[in-house]
Amino acid sequence: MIRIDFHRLRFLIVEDNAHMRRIVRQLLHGFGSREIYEAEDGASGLEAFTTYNPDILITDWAMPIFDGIELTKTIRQPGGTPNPYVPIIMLSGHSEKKRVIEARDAGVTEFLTKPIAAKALYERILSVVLNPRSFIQTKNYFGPDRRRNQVSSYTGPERRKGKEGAKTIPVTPIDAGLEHRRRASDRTENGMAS
Amino acid sequence: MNKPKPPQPEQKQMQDHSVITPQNTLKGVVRRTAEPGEIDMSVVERAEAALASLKGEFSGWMNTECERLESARKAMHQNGYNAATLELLFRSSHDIKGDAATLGYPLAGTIAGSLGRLIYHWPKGSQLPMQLVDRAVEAIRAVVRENVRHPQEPTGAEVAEKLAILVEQYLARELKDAYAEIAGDAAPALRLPEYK
Repeated sequence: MIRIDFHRLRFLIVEDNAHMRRIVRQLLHGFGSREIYEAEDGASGLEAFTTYNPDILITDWAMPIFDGIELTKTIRQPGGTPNPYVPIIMLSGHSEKKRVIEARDAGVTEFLTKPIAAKALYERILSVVLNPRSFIQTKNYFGPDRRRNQVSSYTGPERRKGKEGAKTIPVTPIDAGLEHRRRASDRTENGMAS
Repeated sequence: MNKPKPPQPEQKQMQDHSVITPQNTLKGVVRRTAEPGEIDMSVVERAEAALASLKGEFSGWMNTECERLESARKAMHQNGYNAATLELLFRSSHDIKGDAATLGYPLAGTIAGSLGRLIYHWPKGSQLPMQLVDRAVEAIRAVVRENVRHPQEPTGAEVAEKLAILVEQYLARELKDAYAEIAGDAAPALRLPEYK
Protein backbone atom coordinates (compact mmCIF):
# COMPACT_ATOMS: atom_id res chain seq x y z
CA MET A 1 0.00 0.00 0.00
CA ILE A 2 1.12 3.52 -0.74
CA ARG A 3 1.05 5.98 2.14
CA ILE A 4 1.85 9.67 2.06
CA ASP A 5 3.75 11.09 5.03
CA PHE A 6 1.68 14.23 5.31
CA HIS A 7 3.57 15.38 8.38
CA ARG A 8 6.58 15.92 6.11
CA LEU A 9 4.68 18.13 3.66
CA ARG A 10 4.55 21.88 4.04
CA PHE A 11 1.38 23.54 2.77
CA LEU A 12 0.44 27.13 2.06
CA ILE A 13 -3.25 28.03 1.84
CA VAL A 14 -4.06 31.31 0.10
CA GLU A 15 -7.73 32.10 0.56
CA ASP A 16 -9.51 35.32 1.50
CA ASN A 17 -12.45 33.66 3.24
CA ALA A 18 -11.51 32.82 6.85
CA HIS A 19 -14.10 30.03 7.09
CA MET A 20 -12.78 28.30 4.00
CA ARG A 21 -9.19 28.65 5.24
CA ARG A 22 -10.22 26.95 8.47
CA ILE A 23 -11.99 24.15 6.56
CA VAL A 24 -8.97 23.45 4.35
CA ARG A 25 -6.62 23.58 7.33
CA GLN A 26 -8.83 21.15 9.22
CA LEU A 27 -8.87 18.71 6.30
CA LEU A 28 -5.08 18.90 5.98
CA HIS A 29 -4.76 18.30 9.72
CA GLY A 30 -7.00 15.28 9.28
CA PHE A 31 -4.67 13.97 6.58
CA GLY A 32 -1.82 14.29 9.06
CA SER A 33 -0.23 17.60 8.02
CA ARG A 34 1.20 19.78 10.72
CA GLU A 35 3.07 22.48 8.84
CA ILE A 36 0.39 24.66 7.30
CA TYR A 37 0.72 28.34 6.56
CA GLU A 38 -2.06 30.70 5.57
CA ALA A 39 -2.41 33.96 3.68
CA GLU A 40 -5.58 35.92 3.05
CA ASP A 41 -4.88 37.39 -0.36
CA GLY A 42 -2.63 36.91 -3.34
CA ALA A 43 -0.09 39.56 -2.35
CA SER A 44 0.47 38.19 1.15
CA GLY A 45 0.31 34.71 -0.39
CA LEU A 46 3.26 35.56 -2.61
CA GLU A 47 5.18 36.88 0.37
CA ALA A 48 4.38 33.75 2.39
CA PHE A 49 5.38 31.59 -0.59
CA THR A 50 8.78 33.26 -0.73
CA THR A 51 9.24 33.04 3.03
CA TYR A 52 8.05 29.49 3.71
CA ASN A 53 8.79 27.78 0.37
CA PRO A 54 5.87 25.33 0.67
CA ASP A 55 5.80 21.89 -0.95
CA ILE A 56 2.23 22.40 -2.14
CA LEU A 57 0.28 25.60 -2.62
CA ILE A 58 -3.52 25.63 -2.36
CA THR A 59 -5.04 28.85 -3.64
CA ASP A 60 -8.45 30.34 -4.17
CA TRP A 61 -9.15 32.13 -7.45
CA ALA A 62 -11.31 35.14 -6.49
CA MET A 63 -9.43 37.30 -4.03
CA PRO A 64 -9.16 41.06 -3.68
CA ILE A 65 -6.40 43.00 -5.47
CA PHE A 66 -4.18 40.07 -6.51
CA ASP A 67 -6.14 36.95 -7.37
CA GLY A 68 -5.17 33.30 -7.59
CA ILE A 69 -4.52 33.44 -11.33
CA GLU A 70 -2.13 36.38 -10.95
CA LEU A 71 -0.45 34.61 -8.05
CA THR A 72 0.03 31.49 -10.17
CA LYS A 73 1.42 33.46 -13.11
CA THR A 74 3.85 35.28 -10.82
CA ILE A 75 5.08 32.06 -9.23
CA ARG A 76 5.45 30.40 -12.64
CA GLN A 77 8.10 32.84 -13.78
CA PRO A 78 11.34 30.94 -14.18
CA GLY A 79 13.91 32.48 -11.88
CA GLY A 80 11.37 34.86 -10.38
CA THR A 81 10.48 32.87 -7.28
CA PRO A 82 12.22 30.23 -5.14
CA ASN A 83 10.32 27.35 -6.74
CA PRO A 84 8.45 27.98 -10.00
CA TYR A 85 7.72 24.23 -10.18
CA VAL A 86 5.68 24.09 -6.97
CA PRO A 87 2.44 22.11 -7.38
CA ILE A 88 -0.47 24.57 -7.31
CA ILE A 89 -3.95 23.32 -6.49
CA MET A 90 -6.59 25.88 -7.32
CA LEU A 91 -9.64 25.65 -5.12
CA SER A 92 -12.40 27.72 -6.64
CA GLY A 93 -16.12 28.39 -6.67
CA HIS A 94 -15.79 28.95 -10.42
CA SER A 95 -16.89 25.79 -12.14
CA GLU A 96 -17.28 26.87 -15.76
CA LYS A 97 -15.16 25.02 -18.30
CA LYS A 98 -13.77 28.32 -19.61
CA ARG A 99 -12.47 29.10 -16.13
CA VAL A 100 -10.86 25.70 -15.71
CA ILE A 101 -9.02 26.18 -18.99
CA GLU A 102 -7.94 29.67 -17.96
CA ALA A 103 -6.53 28.29 -14.70
CA ARG A 104 -4.72 25.51 -16.54
CA ASP A 105 -3.22 28.00 -19.00
CA ALA A 106 -2.00 30.16 -16.10
CA GLY A 107 0.03 27.18 -14.86
CA VAL A 108 -2.23 25.63 -12.24
CA THR A 109 -1.41 21.95 -11.61
CA GLU A 110 -4.80 20.76 -10.33
CA PHE A 111 -8.23 22.36 -10.19
CA LEU A 112 -10.73 21.64 -7.44
CA THR A 113 -14.25 23.04 -7.49
CA LYS A 114 -15.96 24.15 -4.28
CA PRO A 115 -17.75 22.85 -2.28
CA ILE A 116 -14.67 21.07 -1.08
CA ALA A 117 -14.69 17.39 -0.14
CA ALA A 118 -11.97 15.52 1.75
CA LYS A 119 -11.71 12.83 -0.93
CA ALA A 120 -11.38 15.30 -3.80
CA LEU A 121 -8.67 17.28 -2.01
CA TYR A 122 -6.82 14.07 -1.10
CA GLU A 123 -6.96 12.90 -4.72
CA ARG A 124 -5.50 16.17 -5.98
CA ILE A 125 -2.68 15.96 -3.44
CA LEU A 126 -2.03 12.33 -4.38
CA SER A 127 -1.91 13.34 -8.02
CA VAL A 128 0.77 15.99 -7.53
CA VAL A 129 2.82 13.80 -5.19
CA LEU A 130 2.63 10.51 -7.08
CA ASN A 131 2.49 11.77 -10.66
CA PRO A 132 4.58 14.93 -10.95
CA ARG A 133 4.40 16.30 -14.47
CA SER A 134 7.13 17.69 -16.65
CA PHE A 135 7.11 21.42 -17.27
CA ILE A 136 6.76 22.95 -20.69
CA GLN A 137 8.27 26.25 -21.70
CA THR A 138 7.14 27.93 -24.90
CA LYS A 139 7.04 31.55 -26.00
CA ASN A 140 3.68 31.95 -24.28
CA TYR A 141 3.58 29.37 -21.54
CA PHE A 142 5.55 28.08 -18.61
CA GLY A 143 3.91 25.46 -16.44
CA PRO A 144 3.00 21.82 -16.01
CA ASP A 145 2.57 19.83 -19.20
CA ARG A 146 -1.06 20.42 -20.16
CA ARG A 147 -1.14 17.20 -22.15
CA ARG A 148 -1.78 14.67 -19.45
CA ASN A 149 -2.25 11.89 -21.94
CA GLN A 150 -0.25 11.55 -25.12
CA VAL A 151 -3.19 10.90 -27.42
CA SER A 152 -2.26 10.15 -31.00
CA SER A 153 -5.72 11.27 -32.14
CA TYR A 154 -5.33 14.78 -30.62
CA THR A 155 -7.30 17.24 -32.73
CA GLY A 156 -6.76 20.64 -31.12
CA PRO A 157 -4.47 23.50 -32.13
CA GLU A 158 -0.69 23.00 -31.94
CA ARG A 159 -0.21 25.67 -29.27
CA ARG A 160 3.43 24.94 -28.59
CA LYS A 161 4.35 26.50 -31.94
CA GLY A 162 2.99 29.85 -30.77
CA LYS A 163 0.25 31.83 -32.48
CA GLU A 164 2.08 32.24 -35.77
CA GLY A 165 2.90 28.57 -36.18
CA ALA A 166 -0.37 27.27 -34.80
CA LYS A 167 -2.27 24.88 -36.98
CA THR A 168 -5.33 22.88 -36.18
CA ILE A 169 -5.37 19.20 -36.87
CA PRO A 170 -8.64 18.42 -38.67
CA VAL A 171 -11.30 16.66 -36.63
CA THR A 172 -12.87 13.52 -37.99
CA PRO A 173 -16.32 12.52 -36.72
CA ILE A 174 -14.80 9.59 -34.79
CA ASP A 175 -12.14 11.81 -33.21
CA ALA A 176 -14.78 14.37 -32.28
CA GLY A 177 -16.87 11.71 -30.56
CA LEU A 178 -13.88 10.43 -28.60
CA GLU A 179 -12.87 13.95 -27.65
CA HIS A 180 -16.39 14.76 -26.50
CA ARG A 181 -16.48 11.64 -24.32
CA ARG A 182 -13.05 12.35 -22.89
CA ARG A 183 -14.01 15.93 -22.00
CA ALA A 184 -17.26 14.78 -20.45
CA SER A 185 -15.28 12.33 -18.35
CA ASP A 186 -12.82 15.08 -17.34
CA ARG A 187 -15.70 17.30 -16.27
CA THR A 188 -17.25 14.50 -14.25
CA GLU A 189 -14.01 14.04 -12.41
CA ASN A 190 -13.72 17.81 -11.91
CA GLY A 191 -10.22 17.50 -13.30
CA MET A 192 -8.36 19.50 -15.89
CA ALA A 193 -8.74 18.83 -19.56
CA SER A 194 -5.46 17.74 -21.08
CA MET B 1 12.50 27.77 7.99
CA ASN B 2 13.64 27.97 4.37
CA LYS B 3 14.41 24.79 2.52
CA PRO B 4 17.50 24.69 0.30
CA LYS B 5 16.87 25.55 -3.34
CA PRO B 6 16.30 22.42 -5.43
CA PRO B 7 19.03 21.55 -7.95
CA GLN B 8 18.74 22.70 -11.55
CA PRO B 9 16.19 20.59 -13.42
CA GLU B 10 16.91 18.51 -16.48
CA GLN B 11 15.94 20.40 -19.63
CA LYS B 12 15.36 19.02 -23.11
CA GLN B 13 15.27 21.53 -25.95
CA MET B 14 12.76 20.73 -28.67
CA GLN B 15 12.19 22.59 -31.94
CA ASP B 16 9.63 25.00 -30.54
CA HIS B 17 9.52 24.32 -26.81
CA SER B 18 11.51 23.00 -23.87
CA VAL B 19 10.55 20.05 -21.72
CA ILE B 20 11.80 20.51 -18.19
CA THR B 21 11.85 17.70 -15.65
CA PRO B 22 12.10 19.27 -12.21
CA GLN B 23 13.73 17.35 -9.38
CA ASN B 24 11.00 15.32 -7.69
CA THR B 25 11.30 16.81 -4.24
CA LEU B 26 8.16 15.09 -2.96
CA LYS B 27 9.10 11.47 -3.61
CA GLY B 28 10.56 11.25 -0.10
CA VAL B 29 7.08 11.53 1.43
CA VAL B 30 5.78 8.45 -0.42
CA ARG B 31 6.02 5.26 1.61
CA ARG B 32 5.27 1.76 0.33
CA THR B 33 4.15 -0.68 2.98
CA ALA B 34 3.39 -4.40 2.93
CA GLU B 35 -0.27 -3.78 3.75
CA PRO B 36 -2.82 -4.88 1.16
CA GLY B 37 -4.43 -2.30 -1.12
CA GLU B 38 -3.04 0.25 -3.55
CA ILE B 39 -3.43 3.61 -1.86
CA ASP B 40 -4.24 4.42 1.74
CA MET B 41 -7.72 5.95 1.65
CA SER B 42 -8.30 5.77 5.41
CA VAL B 43 -6.91 9.30 5.74
CA VAL B 44 -10.03 10.57 3.94
CA GLU B 45 -12.20 9.29 6.76
CA ARG B 46 -9.89 10.88 9.31
CA ALA B 47 -10.11 14.21 7.47
CA GLU B 48 -13.91 13.96 7.30
CA ALA B 49 -13.98 13.29 11.03
CA ALA B 50 -11.70 16.26 11.65
CA LEU B 51 -14.04 18.45 9.61
CA ALA B 52 -17.08 17.06 11.40
CA SER B 53 -15.55 18.17 14.70
CA LEU B 54 -16.05 21.77 13.52
CA LYS B 55 -19.74 21.28 12.74
CA GLY B 56 -20.87 23.04 15.91
CA GLU B 57 -19.45 26.27 14.46
CA PHE B 58 -20.96 25.97 10.98
CA SER B 59 -24.32 27.65 11.72
CA GLY B 60 -22.55 30.66 13.18
CA TRP B 61 -20.23 30.85 10.15
CA MET B 62 -23.19 30.64 7.79
CA ASN B 63 -24.94 33.45 9.66
CA THR B 64 -21.82 35.57 9.30
CA GLU B 65 -21.78 34.88 5.54
CA CYS B 66 -25.45 35.90 5.33
CA GLU B 67 -24.77 39.13 7.23
CA ARG B 68 -21.97 39.95 4.79
CA LEU B 69 -24.31 39.34 1.88
CA GLU B 70 -27.06 41.45 3.43
CA SER B 71 -24.73 44.37 4.10
CA ALA B 72 -23.46 44.11 0.50
CA ARG B 73 -27.05 44.31 -0.70
CA LYS B 74 -27.75 47.31 1.55
CA ALA B 75 -24.63 49.06 0.27
CA MET B 76 -25.87 48.49 -3.27
CA HIS B 77 -29.26 50.03 -2.44
CA GLN B 78 -27.73 52.99 -0.62
CA ASN B 79 -24.85 53.80 -2.96
CA GLY B 80 -26.09 52.45 -6.27
CA TYR B 81 -24.05 50.08 -8.33
CA ASN B 82 -20.45 50.93 -8.88
CA ALA B 83 -17.30 48.83 -9.05
CA ALA B 84 -16.97 48.66 -5.25
CA THR B 85 -20.57 47.71 -4.44
CA LEU B 86 -20.71 45.18 -7.27
CA GLU B 87 -17.45 43.61 -6.14
CA LEU B 88 -18.75 43.35 -2.58
CA LEU B 89 -22.01 41.75 -3.65
CA PHE B 90 -20.34 39.36 -6.07
CA ARG B 91 -17.68 38.30 -3.60
CA SER B 92 -20.13 37.58 -0.80
CA SER B 93 -22.44 35.57 -3.07
CA HIS B 94 -19.46 33.74 -4.58
CA ASP B 95 -18.20 32.80 -1.10
CA ILE B 96 -21.62 31.40 -0.17
CA LYS B 97 -21.72 29.46 -3.42
CA GLY B 98 -18.38 27.90 -2.43
CA ASP B 99 -18.86 27.16 1.25
CA ALA B 100 -22.61 26.81 1.94
CA ALA B 101 -22.76 23.10 1.06
CA THR B 102 -19.78 22.35 3.32
CA LEU B 103 -21.46 24.33 6.10
CA GLY B 104 -24.64 22.28 5.68
CA TYR B 105 -26.82 24.58 3.55
CA PRO B 106 -26.51 23.32 -0.04
CA LEU B 107 -29.60 25.16 -1.28
CA ALA B 108 -28.13 28.46 -0.09
CA GLY B 109 -25.09 27.62 -2.22
CA THR B 110 -27.26 26.88 -5.25
CA ILE B 111 -29.15 30.16 -4.96
CA ALA B 112 -25.91 32.06 -4.37
CA GLY B 113 -24.57 30.46 -7.57
CA SER B 114 -27.50 31.93 -9.52
CA LEU B 115 -27.00 35.32 -7.88
CA GLY B 116 -23.27 35.31 -8.63
CA ARG B 117 -23.98 34.35 -12.24
CA LEU B 118 -26.42 37.24 -12.57
CA ILE B 119 -23.95 39.77 -11.15
CA TYR B 120 -21.04 38.42 -13.18
CA HIS B 121 -22.75 38.21 -16.57
CA TRP B 122 -25.23 41.06 -16.32
CA PRO B 123 -24.53 43.46 -19.23
CA LYS B 124 -22.95 46.44 -17.55
CA GLY B 125 -24.65 49.06 -19.71
CA SER B 126 -28.12 48.11 -18.49
CA GLN B 127 -29.90 48.31 -15.13
CA LEU B 128 -29.01 45.62 -12.62
CA PRO B 129 -32.34 43.95 -11.78
CA MET B 130 -32.30 44.75 -8.07
CA GLN B 131 -35.63 43.06 -7.55
CA LEU B 132 -34.08 39.78 -8.63
CA VAL B 133 -31.00 40.43 -6.48
CA ASP B 134 -33.26 41.11 -3.47
CA ARG B 135 -35.25 37.92 -4.03
CA ALA B 136 -32.08 35.84 -4.20
CA VAL B 137 -30.57 37.42 -1.06
CA GLU B 138 -33.83 36.97 0.84
CA ALA B 139 -34.08 33.34 -0.31
CA ILE B 140 -30.53 32.58 0.88
CA ARG B 141 -31.26 34.16 4.25
CA ALA B 142 -34.54 32.25 4.52
CA VAL B 143 -32.82 28.91 3.82
CA VAL B 144 -30.42 29.59 6.68
CA ARG B 145 -33.02 31.08 9.03
CA GLU B 146 -35.39 28.13 8.48
CA ASN B 147 -32.49 25.71 8.81
CA VAL B 148 -33.16 24.05 5.45
CA ARG B 149 -30.44 21.42 5.20
CA HIS B 150 -31.55 19.03 2.49
CA PRO B 151 -30.78 19.98 -1.14
CA GLN B 152 -34.21 18.69 -2.24
CA GLU B 153 -36.40 20.14 0.51
CA PRO B 154 -39.48 20.85 -1.66
CA THR B 155 -40.09 24.55 -0.98
CA GLY B 156 -36.42 25.50 -0.93
CA ALA B 157 -35.64 23.51 -4.05
CA GLU B 158 -38.58 25.09 -5.88
CA VAL B 159 -37.48 28.60 -4.92
CA ALA B 160 -33.90 27.83 -6.00
CA GLU B 161 -35.09 26.48 -9.34
CA LYS B 162 -37.43 29.40 -10.02
CA LEU B 163 -34.71 31.92 -9.22
CA ALA B 164 -32.29 30.07 -11.51
CA ILE B 165 -34.86 30.22 -14.32
CA LEU B 166 -35.50 33.93 -13.74
CA VAL B 167 -31.78 34.64 -13.83
CA GLU B 168 -31.32 32.66 -17.05
CA GLN B 169 -34.34 34.33 -18.67
CA TYR B 170 -33.00 37.74 -17.72
CA LEU B 171 -29.50 36.98 -19.03
CA ALA B 172 -30.85 35.46 -22.25
CA ARG B 173 -33.00 38.55 -22.87
CA GLU B 174 -30.27 41.08 -22.09
CA LEU B 175 -27.27 39.33 -23.59
CA LYS B 176 -29.10 38.27 -26.75
CA ASP B 177 -26.76 36.27 -29.02
CA ALA B 178 -23.91 36.44 -26.50
CA TYR B 179 -25.98 34.34 -24.11
CA ALA B 180 -25.13 31.27 -26.19
CA GLU B 181 -21.55 31.48 -24.90
CA ILE B 182 -22.58 31.06 -21.27
CA ALA B 183 -25.76 29.03 -21.58
CA GLY B 184 -23.98 25.69 -21.26
CA ASP B 185 -22.69 26.51 -17.78
CA ALA B 186 -26.20 27.00 -16.39
CA ALA B 187 -27.25 23.39 -16.11
CA PRO B 188 -24.63 21.36 -14.29
CA ALA B 189 -25.41 17.67 -13.93
CA LEU B 190 -26.62 17.22 -10.39
CA ARG B 191 -26.87 13.97 -8.58
CA LEU B 192 -28.93 14.87 -5.55
CA PRO B 193 -29.89 12.54 -2.76
CA GLU B 194 -33.58 11.71 -2.43
CA TYR B 195 -35.52 13.93 -0.06
CA LYS B 196 -36.79 12.14 3.04
